[in-house]
Amino acid sequence: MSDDYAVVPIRRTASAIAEPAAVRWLLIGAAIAFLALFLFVPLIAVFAEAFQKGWTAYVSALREPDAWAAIKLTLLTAGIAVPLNTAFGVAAAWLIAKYRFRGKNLLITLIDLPFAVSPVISGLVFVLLFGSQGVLGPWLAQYDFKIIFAVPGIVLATLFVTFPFVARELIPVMQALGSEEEEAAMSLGARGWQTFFRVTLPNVKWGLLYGIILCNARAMGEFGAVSVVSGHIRGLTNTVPLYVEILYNEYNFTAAFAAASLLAVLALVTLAAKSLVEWKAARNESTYNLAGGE
Amino acid sequence: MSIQVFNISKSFAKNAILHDLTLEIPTGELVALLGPSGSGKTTLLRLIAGLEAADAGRIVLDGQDVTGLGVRERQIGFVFQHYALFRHMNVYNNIAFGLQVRPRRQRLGKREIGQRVEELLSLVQLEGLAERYPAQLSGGQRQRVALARALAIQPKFLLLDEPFGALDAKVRQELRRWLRQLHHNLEITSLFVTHDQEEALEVADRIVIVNEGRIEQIGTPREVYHSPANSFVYRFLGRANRFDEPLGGAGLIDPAEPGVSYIRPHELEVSRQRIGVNCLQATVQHVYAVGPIVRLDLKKTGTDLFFEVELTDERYRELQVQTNETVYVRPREAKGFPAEKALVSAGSHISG
Repeated sequence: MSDDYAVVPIRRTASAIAEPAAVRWLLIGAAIAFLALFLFVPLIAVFAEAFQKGWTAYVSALREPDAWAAIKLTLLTAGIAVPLNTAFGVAAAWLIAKYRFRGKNLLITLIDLPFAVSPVISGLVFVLLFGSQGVLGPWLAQYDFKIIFAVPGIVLATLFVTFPFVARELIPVMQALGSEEEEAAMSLGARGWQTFFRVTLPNVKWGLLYGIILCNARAMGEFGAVSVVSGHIRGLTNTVPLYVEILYNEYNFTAAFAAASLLAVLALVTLAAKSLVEWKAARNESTYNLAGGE
Repeated sequence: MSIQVFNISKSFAKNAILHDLTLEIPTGELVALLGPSGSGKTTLLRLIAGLEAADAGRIVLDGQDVTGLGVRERQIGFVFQHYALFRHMNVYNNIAFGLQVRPRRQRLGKREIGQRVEELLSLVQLEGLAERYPAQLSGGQRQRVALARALAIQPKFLLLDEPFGALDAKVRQELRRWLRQLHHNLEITSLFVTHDQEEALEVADRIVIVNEGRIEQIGTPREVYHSPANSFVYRFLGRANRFDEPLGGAGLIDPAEPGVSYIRPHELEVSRQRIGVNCLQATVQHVYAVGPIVRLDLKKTGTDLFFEVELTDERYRELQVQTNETVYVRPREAKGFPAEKALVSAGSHISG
């Protein structure tokens, strides 16, 4: 009798929280089918199309001077936007996580603005500001300084669009850490920058790296905002995503997909790096937060 | 190396935490800031350390006005309530931190820093744990690392925020004795915050009792316990029975004067027969008969007044009292306070 008492409730609990096998397989199958249709098939299609005319056609498509210029411009843009937004993101996260001040919620909302606004609109804002008909256009023209339809415009648009990534990643991490360790460092005589580099940064490095990876992926892949300000001048103001579009519109599919495959590789590398960082961070967490011998 | 605080006030977002508070802590003493939670004791400690800025008033450390200086310039060793150890550094680097961040000209060489850390590790009895990370230590060990780290910079003052707050009872007991001993050897002016009266009475040379942002009393443990300045101090330092009339316990209080009386449970004498004039008749409500001290919950006959009595196990066996029996109680000692002062914070009749 006593055995029955022990077994029956357990069986009931198990069946109460688990779905029947048919439902489980249906749900898992649907999820996998969805993933395959929207992620794996397009990814394979990109590479299949890119290599359709063989390896030599692929390489020569990428060795085009225009392709090479687009790659260089993309790297340059990311090379400027990512460090700037990293510095900005760290400063903003620090301010928001460690201090109490009036207008803090407004600042948080403003940081999110680039996520809320359509990238095309953000591009248009820069055209309206710096374009030849824009507010600052005549003044810029006086000094013969071109922003719109030139590299500075592309960098500006990218900066704006990728603005929230680092700050967004860091704010919760820094808030969770609190400021006791920084206070301890200062009480031990550390100056501001020593406290930052020796105490704050090591504690948030994985969150920071994660933010940088996401920021970089977006900076290299951004289309909408950049498209509006670029002017699509071949070899001068085309980034890789814009170059892909132009080639595609010219029915030059192999070259278009060859360039697109670069972005696809970037996506895969980003995902791998992201997983690595997450794994490292989790492992670190367990070393630092290992249950003590209390 | 005294700590002087003059007319300090501090509020957070319109909530006044400290009101015009003045305090002096003499050189070399181990002083407890004792008060209930929310009394402002931690804020006072942080103000002295320079982790917060005062709204008004002056802070003088070792004769030097430091009101305008930050925590870096005050030469203070601060031990945080939750230790605030650098979680990504091992014990060695935690302790060495204060020595490593000094400006290059004042910095010790690597070897000297190593020696100093070794000394500190043996001082806090953690030899051999230099390579461990904070997460791999027990609470008591973390506490001692935090102390060693604070002492590494050879501070003039040691400030500790609830130093034993996060530890279990047994470790607490050990660390208390150890801190006393350490203070005795180092002779460094030390101030610690606690809400535990027993801890303050046992460890400190002198106790500062803080309540609602004001100092209620300053004195040695004996002084504050035996001559409390007011009913708050009396109630805060131990179990207390409150009687809303003056009780002429052992002739201590003039029953003609208006006021309230407080009597500690062990200051009441219980017997089965009426004894003397000041005798209360009461019924036993409950008996807690565990350990060397037996506690009785009593109810004064004919009223709704509940109070506690403590007696030795020996006496309890003599009396053989049981629930619902009638006994007679006589105060050996009582403290009287003017009525209005007591009413301010009067909660229940019995407070622990």
